[in-house]
Order: sequence, then structure tokens, then C-alpha cells
Amino acid sequence: MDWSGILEDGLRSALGLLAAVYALSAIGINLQFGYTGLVNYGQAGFLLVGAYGTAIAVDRWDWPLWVAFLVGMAAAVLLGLVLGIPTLRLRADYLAIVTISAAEILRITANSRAAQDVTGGPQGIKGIAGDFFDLNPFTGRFTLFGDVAYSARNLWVITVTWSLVVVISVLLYLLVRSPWGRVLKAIREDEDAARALGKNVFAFKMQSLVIGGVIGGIAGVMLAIDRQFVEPRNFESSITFLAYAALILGGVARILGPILGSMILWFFIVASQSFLTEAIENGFLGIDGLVTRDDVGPVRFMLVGLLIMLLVIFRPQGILGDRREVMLGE
Amino acid sequence: MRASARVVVLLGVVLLATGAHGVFGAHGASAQESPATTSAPPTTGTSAGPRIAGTLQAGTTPVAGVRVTVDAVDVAADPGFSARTESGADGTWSVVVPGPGTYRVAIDPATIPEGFALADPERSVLPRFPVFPGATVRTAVFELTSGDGGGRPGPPGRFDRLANLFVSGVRLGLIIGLASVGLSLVYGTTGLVNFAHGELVTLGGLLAWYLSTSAGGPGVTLVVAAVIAVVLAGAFGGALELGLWRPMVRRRSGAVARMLVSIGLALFLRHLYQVLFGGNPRSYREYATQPPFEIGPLRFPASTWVVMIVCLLVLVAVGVVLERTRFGTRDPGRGRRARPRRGLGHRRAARGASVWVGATGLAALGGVMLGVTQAVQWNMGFRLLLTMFAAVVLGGLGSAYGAMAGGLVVGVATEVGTYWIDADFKFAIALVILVLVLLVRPQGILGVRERIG
Repeated sequence: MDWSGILEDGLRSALGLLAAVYALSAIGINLQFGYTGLVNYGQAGFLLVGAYGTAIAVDRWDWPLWVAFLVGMAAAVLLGLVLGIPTLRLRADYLAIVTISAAEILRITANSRAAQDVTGGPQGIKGIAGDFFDLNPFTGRFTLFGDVAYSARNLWVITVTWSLVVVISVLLYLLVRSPWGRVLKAIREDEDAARALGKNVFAFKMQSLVIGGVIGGIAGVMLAIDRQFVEPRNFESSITFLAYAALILGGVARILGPILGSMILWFFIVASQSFLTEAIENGFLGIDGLVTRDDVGPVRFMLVGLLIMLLVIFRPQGILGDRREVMLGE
Repeated sequence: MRASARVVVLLGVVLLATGAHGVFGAHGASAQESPATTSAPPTTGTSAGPRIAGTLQAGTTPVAGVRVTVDAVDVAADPGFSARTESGADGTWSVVVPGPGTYRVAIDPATIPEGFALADPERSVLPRFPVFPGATVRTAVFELTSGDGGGRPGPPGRFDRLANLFVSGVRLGLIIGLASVGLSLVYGTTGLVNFAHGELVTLGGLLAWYLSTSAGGPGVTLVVAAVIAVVLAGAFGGALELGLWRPMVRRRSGAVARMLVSIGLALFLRHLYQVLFGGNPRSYREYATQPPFEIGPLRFPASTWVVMIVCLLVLVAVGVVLERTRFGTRDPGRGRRARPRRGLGHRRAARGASVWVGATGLAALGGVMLGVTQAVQWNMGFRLLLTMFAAVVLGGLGSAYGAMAGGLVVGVATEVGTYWIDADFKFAIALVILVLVLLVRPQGILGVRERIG
């Protein structure tokens, strides 16, 4: 068993691009769910419109990447408005069902032959981020230690994405401590009380949904930039659920919660995958009799599912959370 | 029940899961076309992979120049694979694919030459065409007819097509209604939006497959297998209520917490099924090949009519239980009461467990019916989940009759809708209905106004 290899695999992804992208997605959910109490199960849809908005503007309209990025963000704002108007007046269950449905509709539409001229259908859109990689200041390979190393290309994407995580987290820190943020928390605790105090609850919820969605849209753009490619299967609803897992793991309604949670979650996912692969090859603890190499992917998801259940049941406040601030507890 | 007891329950589930794998896994690997038997990565390039091929002919006349597309649906070797070709002068075509997995094989009806037509206009696409490990050539069959009546009647007219779509919509709608009554009842009695409901549907389909068709199973007939599957699934549902949901309610976990736990449970169960049964769709032995059974313009396999009658009878029985028995008339699942109950008393607690048993049993029966009309697969229930949500919200969350009515509307709308709209959007139709209902009448057809806001 190559234990240090397993740890290095885990660590590389804890600091890698996917951890940063899921941190961004979870930060958006944290604003909506953690601070405002909105159950958005359609974050994958926000990632999708951000990524596709950008990719279509670059590839089909030949716009420069930074303008295209704004198109992606505008698409995320629009999606937030369209989802919010019918559902924000209803109970949380309805928002949950509608958001996940909308995310699926978007994915099916992007995948369909009817939309192929715009979205590329199942083939997606390739080569969208030339502008981004032209700016890469790094050269050569960067080694943190051991096998935890990144190519210059990866290092550039990772640096930008984690910087976005930091900047957005700082902004969010300021926002939730502002009077605006206090209204959001009041809505989460007791919507009727907030309304009785003369607050326009609908407008505040809408702002929270849209801002959280735009943060998700940014996550989608960074994912697309890294892949140089958008395709519908990158935006399945499992993204949303993994982001929720990251958020709950780190701590709901905590600024550092989604960041820490995403890093630990990706360490857990990748290290468990390496562990299983290694254990099957070496016959460690007789695991090779139970699962085969093809089962490693599904088993990984089983573990994530189990993790979500155990966390919500036994430690709904996660690692950093405060039980009083979490709408999952008592 | 204390926390430690809950750990024991969860551990039990895991142990059962891993133990069961020994049973299923051993047989699956030896007898069935389990994808788990390949571990060597396929060689690179497209020349070494297996082929999907076929011959397009009407009767014995080859049909040339028809465009065939092959796209990867679930292919580990190359998820983005896509290729197109045309049938040659002898009607044959062939596409080399990157490896085993599931493909979408389609012919473009617009390229079929004048004088020929698809025998069944619905069958221009094989949405989930499996290529098993070790296979070298897989044959995809598209039936064509020549316009001058070569054996089969010519392409059906507009009315015939609509009639067929309507019947398959009713069939789908009845199955959705059957499967989602439980979703609505559980919501009505416990306030849980159960994202794991799709996995309960899958459970029924898979259990019945194991009992009737699996090489390692007892090989009973499908009717017996369905009954046993419903009973086992019902027991599983009762165990979930007693071991998971009720302790959570007792700890005063909120509705959102339980919804998140149901998502975790769904992820766990779904991928457990994937490990146990592999990724390929399978059919029940009795229904592997189904000759059509014609009534006027309607061409369906005989099983369609059986499925519809069974669904109808069971739905009527559910209605009788809800209307005529003490259990039913005091059950808030019919939408009379506004709020899920807190602090379950002893008697009510017993009812909560029986609602779960019934809900899971009905879902499992829906899974068996779905397996008969489509195929049995590890994610069959998950793919139906959002459609079930659409049905339940359309009918009114928490109302059993609402779920039945909503299911029918959604089923017919999705099937008949494909007459005008690209079949790719079939599933999206249900979800668009869902969003529109929330805009216009959020309490649904039979729901209660006070519940929604």
C-alpha cells in the first residue's frame, strides 16, 4: 500500500481546481441557504448558464473572453430572476423542487439536437479560453512537495480561481455583517417578523438568490476555462449535492465553512478513490473480494451519500458551525 | 432511541449492502453480461474498438444513403464520442466505437429515400444501446417498409400516431401515478420531501428482476416476483421510518435537514444498486421480446394492457383504503389537514410506519411496471424522480388523488407532446408544466391553499 501516494493524491485535489470550483458553488449556496434559508437545489443550473453564456459569446459571437464572462454573469442573473419570481413567495419545498427541475431542463436543452447550433448539443463547445491562457505568467512545473505538483497551466487556473474564492469571501463577509446581511438572517429566522418590521422580504430573498447564483455562475466559468470545453454532462445535479455536502461539512452560515468543507470533501473523495484502487490491487483487507475497479466510482458516491446523512444527523453545524445559526438543527 | 442506536442501524444497512454484494456479485459476474468483468482500459484509437453495425432494408430491398449517428451516452473510454455514417448501396452501415458502454444510435428519418419509411415512426432512435465488454459486433435493427406495402402496413396516419402516443401516455401516467402516490402520502403525513423516492421505485424493479430473471435468483415467475418485491420493499420502507426518519423527528430535526438526509440516502442507495447490478439496462425474462398486439390502430405489446389494468386496479384499491377505512379517513395524506404533525403519539406513530410501508410498496410496484414497459436499470427511478415531483406538485403536494391525477396529466402531456416537440424534450415537458403550475395555481389541482406559503 502506497500510503503517502494516497495522501498526496488527496492533498493535490484539496488544493486543486475542482475544490476551488466547488468552494465557489458552495459559497453561493451558503448565501442562499445558510444566511437566507433558501433551499436552492439548482446550483448546477447556475454553473451551466454561466459557462454556456461565456462559451457561446466567445465561440459563436467571437467576443473577447472578458466581455463573454459578463454575458455569462448576466445569464445567471436572468436565471435567478426567472426562478425567483414564481417560487420565492412559496414555501421552501417548492423552491427546492423548481430549482432542481430548472437545472435539469437547462441541461436537457443544452444537450438536445434542437439547440445544437447554439450549444453544440452533446458535443459541447470547445476551445473558449485562449485569451485566458495567453495571460499565464507562470512557466515550468511547480512542486509544493513530493508528488503535489501542478503544471504551469494548472497553476494559473488554480491561482485565479482560489483568488476569486478569497475576494468573494471577503466581500461576503462584509455583506453579511452589513444591515443588508442582518435582514437576510432575520428572514431566515422568521420571515413574518421581518415582514412585520417593514422589510420587503421578497426583494431581499431575490437579491440573495441572484447573488448566490452569480457566484455559482463564476464557478461554472472557471470550470469551463480549465476544461477549455463546455458540455452538458459537466452540469449534472450531483454538482449541487456535492456542493451542499461541502457546505454542511465545513459549516453552514460560516464564511470559511464552504472553503474548508470543499477542501476536505475533495481530499476525502480523491484519497478514498486512490485508497480503494490501491487496496483492490494489493488485496488489502480482502477488499478485492468485495468490489472491483469498475465499482470504485460508484462506491465513492456511496461514501459521499453516507457522509451527508451522518453529518446532517449527528453534526448539522459541520466543523466550524454554530448550532444556533443553523436551520438544520433544533 | 439514542445516537448509538442509530449508528447500529446505519451500520446494519452497510453490512447488509456489502453482504448482499457477495450474493449478487458472484452470480452477476459468472452468468450475466456484467460490465464489472472488464478492467483493462480499451486500447486507444478507434480502430481496435468494437463495432455497431446494421443493414437497412425494406423486406429484401436494401435502402442506401440513410444517415446513422452514434453518440456515447455512458462510455467510460470516451464520454464525448460521436460518429455518423451512411448506409451503403447494399444497405449496410458500421461504426467503430471506442469501447463497451451505452450508446445512442439513431437514423435520420429525413434521409430515408422516397418510397421507403420507418415501420414504426417512433423507432428512429435507440436511446440506450448497450455494447457489452468482449463484444466485437453489435447489430442495431431499424425496421423499414417500402411505400408499396412490403409486408407491413404503410406508415400510420396522423390520427393513428396521436392515438398511439395517447395510449403510451396513459400507460406512463398510470405508472407515474402509482409510483408517486407514496411520495405524496409521505409528504402529507410527515412533511418530508423525499428525494430518495426514486430509489424506492428502482428497488422494486431490481428486486423483481433478481427474483425472476437473474441467473442466481430463484427464477420465479414475474407475478410472484413482483409480489415478493413489493413486500420486501414495504418492509424496507417501514425500517427506514423506524430506524431513520422517526428518530430524526424525535430529535426535532427540521424538514430541510430530513430533505438533505434523503438526498444522502438517495446517493447511497443509487450507487449501491450500480455496484450490485452493474450499469446495463436489463429486461424481465418473460418480456425480453414482446410481439405487438394490435387493437384497431393501436400497436402495443400485450404487456401494455396488463400494466395499465394492474395500475388502475391498484389505484382504485388505494382510493378505497383511503375513503372507506378508519386508517384512511384519519390520514391527513388526503390533503384535509394543513400541517405535518409534530410529536407523534403512539397511535399516530404506528400510522406513520404503515404509511411508509404502503408508500414504499406502491413505489416498488411502480418500479416493476416501469421495468416491464421499459427496462430495469440502476438509475431508472432517479430518472423518473423529477417527473414524479411534477405530478405530485401538479396534483397538489400531500394529496393522494392529486398524485394520481397529476401523474396522468404529466404522462399524457409528455408522450403526446412528442408529436409536436422533439423527443429530446420529452422529460422537459413535465418540468415546464411544473413551473407553470407554480405560477398559476401553486396549490395544484387538488391541493389546499393554506399549505403553500
